This record gives sequence, C-alpha cells and structure tokens, in this order.
Amino acid sequence: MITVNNVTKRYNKSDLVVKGVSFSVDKGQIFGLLGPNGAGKTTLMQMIATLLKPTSGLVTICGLDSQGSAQEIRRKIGFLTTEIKLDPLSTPNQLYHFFSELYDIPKEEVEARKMAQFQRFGIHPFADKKIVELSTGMKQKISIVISLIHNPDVIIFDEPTNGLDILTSRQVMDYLLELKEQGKSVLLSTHIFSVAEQLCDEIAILVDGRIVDQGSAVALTEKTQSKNFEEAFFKLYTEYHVGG
Amino acid sequence: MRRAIIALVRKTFGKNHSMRAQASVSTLMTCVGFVMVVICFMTSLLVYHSGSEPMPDYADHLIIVNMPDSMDEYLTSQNFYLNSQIKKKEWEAYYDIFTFTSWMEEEDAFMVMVFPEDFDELVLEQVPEEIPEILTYCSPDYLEYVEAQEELIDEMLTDGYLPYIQSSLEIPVKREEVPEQMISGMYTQSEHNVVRDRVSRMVMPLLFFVCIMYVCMLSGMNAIAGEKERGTFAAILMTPISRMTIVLGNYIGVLLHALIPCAVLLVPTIFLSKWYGLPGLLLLILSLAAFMAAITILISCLNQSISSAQTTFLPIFLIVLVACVTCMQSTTPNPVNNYIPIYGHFYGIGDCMMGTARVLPVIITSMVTFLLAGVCILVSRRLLETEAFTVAVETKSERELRRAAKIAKKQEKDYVSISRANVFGYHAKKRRSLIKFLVGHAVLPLALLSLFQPIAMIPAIVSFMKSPESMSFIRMFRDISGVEGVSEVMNRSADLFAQFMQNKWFIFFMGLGYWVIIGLYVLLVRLREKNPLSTLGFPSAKSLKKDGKMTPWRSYVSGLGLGLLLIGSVYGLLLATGQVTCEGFALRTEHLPMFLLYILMWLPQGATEEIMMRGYMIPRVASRLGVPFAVFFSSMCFSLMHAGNAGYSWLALINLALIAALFACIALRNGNIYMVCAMHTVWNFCQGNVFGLEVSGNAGNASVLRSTTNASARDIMTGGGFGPEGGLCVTIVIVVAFAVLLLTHKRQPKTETVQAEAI
Repeated sequence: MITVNNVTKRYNKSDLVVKGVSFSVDKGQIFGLLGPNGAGKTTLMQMIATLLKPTSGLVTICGLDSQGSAQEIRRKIGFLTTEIKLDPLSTPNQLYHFFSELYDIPKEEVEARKMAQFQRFGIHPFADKKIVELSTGMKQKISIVISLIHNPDVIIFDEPTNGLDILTSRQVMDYLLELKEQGKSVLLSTHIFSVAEQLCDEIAILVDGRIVDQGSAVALTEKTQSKNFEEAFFKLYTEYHVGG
Repeated sequence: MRRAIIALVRKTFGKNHSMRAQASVSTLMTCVGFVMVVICFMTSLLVYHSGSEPMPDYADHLIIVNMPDSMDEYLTSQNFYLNSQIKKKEWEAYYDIFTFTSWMEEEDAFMVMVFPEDFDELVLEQVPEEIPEILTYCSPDYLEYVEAQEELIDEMLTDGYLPYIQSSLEIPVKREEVPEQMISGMYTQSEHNVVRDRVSRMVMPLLFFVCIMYVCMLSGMNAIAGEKERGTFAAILMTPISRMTIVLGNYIGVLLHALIPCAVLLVPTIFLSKWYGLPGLLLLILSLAAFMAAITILISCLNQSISSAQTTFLPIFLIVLVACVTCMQSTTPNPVNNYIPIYGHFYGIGDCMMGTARVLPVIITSMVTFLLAGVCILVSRRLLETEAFTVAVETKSERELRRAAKIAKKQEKDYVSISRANVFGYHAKKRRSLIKFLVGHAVLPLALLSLFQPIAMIPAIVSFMKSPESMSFIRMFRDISGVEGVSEVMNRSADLFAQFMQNKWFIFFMGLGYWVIIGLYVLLVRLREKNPLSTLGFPSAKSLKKDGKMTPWRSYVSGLGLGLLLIGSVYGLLLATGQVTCEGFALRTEHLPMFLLYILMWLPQGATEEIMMRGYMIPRVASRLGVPFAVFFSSMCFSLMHAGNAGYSWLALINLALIAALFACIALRNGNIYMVCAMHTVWNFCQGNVFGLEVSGNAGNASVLRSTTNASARDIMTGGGFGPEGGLCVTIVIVVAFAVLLLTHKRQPKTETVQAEAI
C-alpha cells in the first residue's frame, strides 16, 4: 500500500534530514518508525502524507505517485501528527461537520458516522464544548476521529500516544489494532518502545535520517543479541548515531 | 468543490472564526493614530472651506517699519485712505518675524511692511540699479484677505509710492521686483453646496477606504496566516480539496466581511448621492473590496503568523491612505488619475456621489482592479503549492536541534567567545551580524553629530533673526537653494557655517551638545553594555597607578603639550616655507568672552570625537576584526565624517586619516584616551583660536594671532579653504610624528631584552 523508495529530504541549504530511506507497508500491516527526537520521523511522514515534497526518491500510495496525484492520495489516507492542531474555538461537532464537507461525505451519512465515532471514543458528552476547554487526551481522540472521518485505507499516525495517559493510550492502541483487522495499512511513528513492541508487525529504526535496521521487535532483539527490545534499540542507536 | 468552498466561506465568515483573534496592538494603534490624523486634517480643511467658523475681525492697522521720509511725504500729499491706520516703527533687523508677529498682535495689524533702514539714502542719493527690497509680512490669521492685501500693496506701493518717487525724483523703478510677497494665500470659495461637495469627495471615499482595508486586514490575516499560526491549516491542506478551493473559500469569506461596513456606509451615501451615480458607486466599491481582499489573502499566504502578516500589510495600508490624502488635496485631478486604481476609486466615488462621474473611467478602473484581484488570487494559489508557505515544515524538536548545531558551529569561530584583540579590556557580550555591526559603528557618531548640530543651530538662527546681520544671513540661506552643483552648495554651506561659528549661542550650545554626547556614550557603556568605563578608554587613576602608568591628569596635561608641539610644528613649517605670514597679536578685549566660549567648546569637542572614534569604536571593532582593521576603519570613518566640510580634498582625506591613525596608535600604546583627548582639543583650538588658521574647513574668529596666507602660497601646502589639515605640511608633521612613535616604541622591548641579558 505504501512504498517509499530511496527518499531524501533537504530543507533549504541545510544538511539532509532524511537520507535515502526505503521501506514498504503492506495491507493489514502496522509498520512502526522508531527513533529519537530529531531523527526525521515527522519529516518522513509529512512527505508520505504529501505535505512535503521529497528532494529525491519516490513515494507511492495505493499505486499512486505522491507528487503527481497528491489530491487523490489525500482521499485515501488519514494523517495525524502533533503538528496539526484543531481550531481551539470550535466545538467537536462543528469540526466534524466542517471536515465532512471538505471530504465531501454524503450529507445523510454524516450524522450516523459522527455518533458512532463519538461514542466509540467517548467524545459525545463534550461534543458542544470548545476544543480549548478539553483535556489533552480528549483533543487527541477528536484529532483521530477527524483524521479518519473519510474511512481511509492508509493510516499515517505520527506519535499518536504522545502525552496521553495509560487509559487513553490503551484505547488508541486498541483502535489501531482494530483498524489493522479491518485490513487497513497503518504507518506509525513513535519513540515509545512499548507501543512499538506491542503494535507493530515491522519496525524500522531511524537514526539521523537513515533506517539502520528493520524487522519485528523479536527479530531485532535477537539480531542484536539483547535482553529486550529497548536494549536492542540502544545498541543500534549508539552504533549508528554520528558523534555518539 | 462547491460544498468545500461554501464550508470554507462559512468558516472564514462565520462567527466561530471572528475577528476577536489577535489584531496586534501596535498595528491597531498605528492605524487608529493615522486615521485620527487624517480625520483632523480633513476636519480642518472642511471647516476652512465651508466657512462655518466665524471669520476673525478684520484687523485694520498697517505697520510700516523704518518708513522712509519720502514715503511719509507721499502719503501726506496723497491723503491715502489708510493714513490714520498706519503705525510707524523702527527696527534694525529686517527678517525678525518674531518681533513683527508680536507687533501685529499688539497693534491689531494685518500686515507689516519693512523698508531697509537707509532706503532713502539708497534710492534718493544714489541711483541704484534696482530698488532695495521692501518686505511685507501678512498675519497668518488673515490669510483669507491676502487678495485684499495684494490689492492694497498694488495700490500703495506699485501704483502709488514707487511711481511717485520715480516721477518726482526721476528715479527708475523696476515694477516687477517690488514688493516681495512673503506669503501666498488661498482664496475662499463661495459655492452653495460646498459641504455636500466636501463630504462626497473627501469624507465618504476615505471612510470606504479605511473600513474596507481595516476589515480586510483583520479578517484576511486571520484566515490563512491565523490558521498557520494556530497550526490548524495543515488539517485543511490534508483534505482532498484543491489549493484553489482553499484560496477561493477564504477569499470569498474575507470579501463578504469587507462588504458589511460598505453596506452600512451605503445608507448615508445613497441619501447624499445622485441616483444615476449609484451603479458606478457600487461597481467601484465592489472592485475595491475585491482587490483589498485579494491582497490580504496573498499576504496571508506569504506569512506564518497574524502579526507578521499585519506588519507586511501595514505599509500597504499607509501608502493607500497617503494616496487618499493626496487625492483629498487636489480638487482638480490629472485626468489620467481617474483610470488608475485607488486614485480612480477615490475620485470615482466622489464623482459618482456628486453625479459628475464619467462611465469610461469608472468601468476601466473597476475592470483593472478586478483583474489585479484575479492575479493576486492566482499568485496565492501558487504560493500554497509550495511547502515553504504551507506547513510548518519541521517539527519543533528537529528545528531546535538544527538551530543549536548551527549556533554551536558559529560559536567556534565567534568573536564573543574568542575575541581577536583585547583593547582597553573590552570583551564583547552580544553577537550581531557583521553588516549591522559595522554600519552601526560607522553611523552612530554621524547620527549623534547630525542630531546635535542642527539643535545648536536653532538658538543661533533665532539670535541672527533678531540682529542686524539677519539680512546677510537670510541671503546666504536663499542663495544656497539657487546654486547648482554639489561643490558649490558645499562651499556656500561652509560660508553659512562660518557665520554660525561666530555666533556665541551656537558655540555655547555646540559645547553643551558635546557634553550630552559624552554622557550618552557613558550611559551606553555603563547601562547597555554593562561594562566599566575603562572599556571606553577611561581607566581609573587607581588602576593606572597600579600599572605604573601616568595618572589621568598628567596624561591630559602632557597631551596638551604634545598637541601644541604637533600643531606648532605645522604652523612653524607654514611660516618657514613662506606660505603664511603672522601679522601679530590680534585678540581684542571684546573678543575675550567669545575666546573663552571657544575654549569651553573645544574641550568637550576633542574629547567627544576621541570617545566616538577611538575610545568606543576601536576596542569594539578590534575584538571582532582585529586591531589593524579597527584602526583603519575608525580612521576612515573619522576622515569621511569631515567630507561635508568646505575644501575637502583627497589630501585632506589622507591627512585626517593619518591624524586619526596617529591618535589611535597613541591611545593603544597608552591603554587610554586621556592624552589623545587633550591632543585633539589643543590641535583644533590652536589652529583656529591661537594661530588663526581654519579648522577642517571651519573658520573661526577670536584668535590670539592673526595669520594671512601669502599670495605666493600654494594650496597643496596650506590646504586652501580646508585649513592646514588639507595641506602637505600636516602630512610631513604627522609622518615625522609616526616615525618618532615607531622609534620610541621599538626602544622599549630592546631595553627589556638588554636588561634580560644583563640579568
């Protein structure tokens, strides 16, 4: 569903932020990108989500080129990142209706879909409160609902459990597993080991804009002869980090 | 697409996205301030033109200053109707408007006519080539009557008195040269509908402009730049709608906002307008709103935050308002202006309201404006397709890491952490870009001097006005505007400056100004830089003693001696080579106060220039770019600072730079600027007020000796109008001084090594 082929990214005249990254995500797979802050995860995800253009390399989603058919791709993907915020003065209801119109969701379906999603995440009691009055967890849940408003096949989540309490992050993780079962492809970035370990079928370790190793959590642990996945990550990081 | 546009319009226009968001306070204040100024201006114009304010009573006296006897005779013989209202006064200053104005108030007079004191002698005893000037001053309160006053002058002077002296005394009078009218006035209009005309042509168009622009600014900046600032824009970009839809949706929302105040304003407009002007009016307003909305959307796309977008828009706002004010001033516009957007809109709205509009200009202006709006929209769409203007492209953590790395890289070679030289114990604490740093250092002295010198001129000008020399002074001022060529203007300005240099008030206030500049530098170093005064070249006596150096006073006194030696050598050389002759002692008792004032002025003057160019500039520039460059830079700045003086030449440039470099080397060697302050003071003082030479192109008086340049003298030796600093004699003396400095400097380490070997 997602193919990333030798993608690089350079901002202005600075050094490369993403250096020749390649991987692919299949249908019904959760693919994790794990790396420290500043490794280039968000940049990579924004390129896949068509917000940024790669300096070189090719990204295809559902067989569509991310540069040539950006508009069609946006119809097929749901993108969530901490950089995208919700209008603080709107209510969840207003936002849902606003985005359903931008995604051109049939009017008769909107209300039913909204009720189902709001109830699934427990948003309905707060549906008419302004975003600014809501808790971080609630905001994140609303962001998830909004980003998946059009029921996309490909889901790109950048650190979805960041700053959430255990209960809410559990809820989010369960939902991601549910999406996987529905046959959707999920690309997930995180720097939380437990999330990566529990959710992802395949994990790519990103250090300084480069994928240094890739495989399931168990495979990576074995490969680096570590006690657990966390140790495996540290070993890979110290081995490949420039100046580390 | 239609559904998406409607959703976006509703969002931009809707109440959950209203203008309560942050209109930056400064923007708001500037706009309100500007609009208030415009309204005040407009009100005054309106009141003036409508004549609603009662006219002041007609003052009925005429003051004639220094009335010639011949005129008295003429008036008595003619039984002139104003005879009883004429007040005679005597006053030697010709241009003293201060006294004349106060007389006008005291005597309830509307005009003052000033004759030169010796008018009769000039005209009657010798036949002049032209009649001496007769000046007339009109009271500004009665400008409305200027026409009447012109008639009066015609009747009294041009048709009466002057032909009288011409015919009775057979003296030719050139009619067109007298009298000289100082003030030209405006004439009152007597139209019936002047108020309606003014409201339609001035008030209503301006209100439309202000309302449309202000609402567009608030709404437009909030639309896209506001979304970017709040981080909500990326969510819209991620939806499968085209960029054009985003631009159009936001644009229509802003346009609808802009049309709200227009609709409100249209209510009074419709009552004031002629019905047949309404379609044109609507077209113009719509096109103006469409254009402004498109501009704000374009600016909104360009910026990442509301305040930066508003700051970008502010100049456009002000330029358009200035254009409006220009339109308000000219009631009969150039026909081409009717076809140009903004101008065309302003005139067009007024014309449509008054029913005098023509169809073609209105249509062409509107169409051009719609076209421009379309271009703005297309450019906005293009901008949204580039990532630089769409999303915050990096995450905060990535951006911070990159910045930190960049700063660390910079700091490796940075002058703040590793200064290249430590002069006067100065160590830089703040980092500035190189261009800002150098321009700042070069401009600061110039800016301070150009601020304080004109201030010191004000009391001097006032005192000139009240003195008999006012004639020659005003003539000089007037002559400058008449000459062509930069060098000529500079020479004339120098003559004028020489006048100032002989004015005690100017000298006094210049001295005061120099003290203020010294104070400013002290404050700059102590409060802004938070450095000790030693970094300005003024170490304490204690620390000097500790280092085994001369105390400040001893340094200063030896500086006076050294300076005297230097300038004395120059004077000696000039005498020896036969360039100048000393004519003996010239200081008279009446010159003494001026002489003392000069001393009081040169004291801070020398110190100020040393603080600016040596004490402050050298340590700061040297810490970043090294001592040699600092000396070169400060010397060039010092030399170029005098470029505006009379007689400035290439040799003067080199000499001044050499003198500056010599002073810099002495200051660097001493580790302070006490000595060079004294040297600078005594150098200037002796040139002007001891030897009677010119100081960097500025002549003075009150000199101890009088020196005259010989006929055989060569400018290349004496420096011509610039004074000795523009001649070879100074070059020779400074080069010798450098040689002495170099020799004495080398001796020290030598003796040390000899001592070391002995040990």
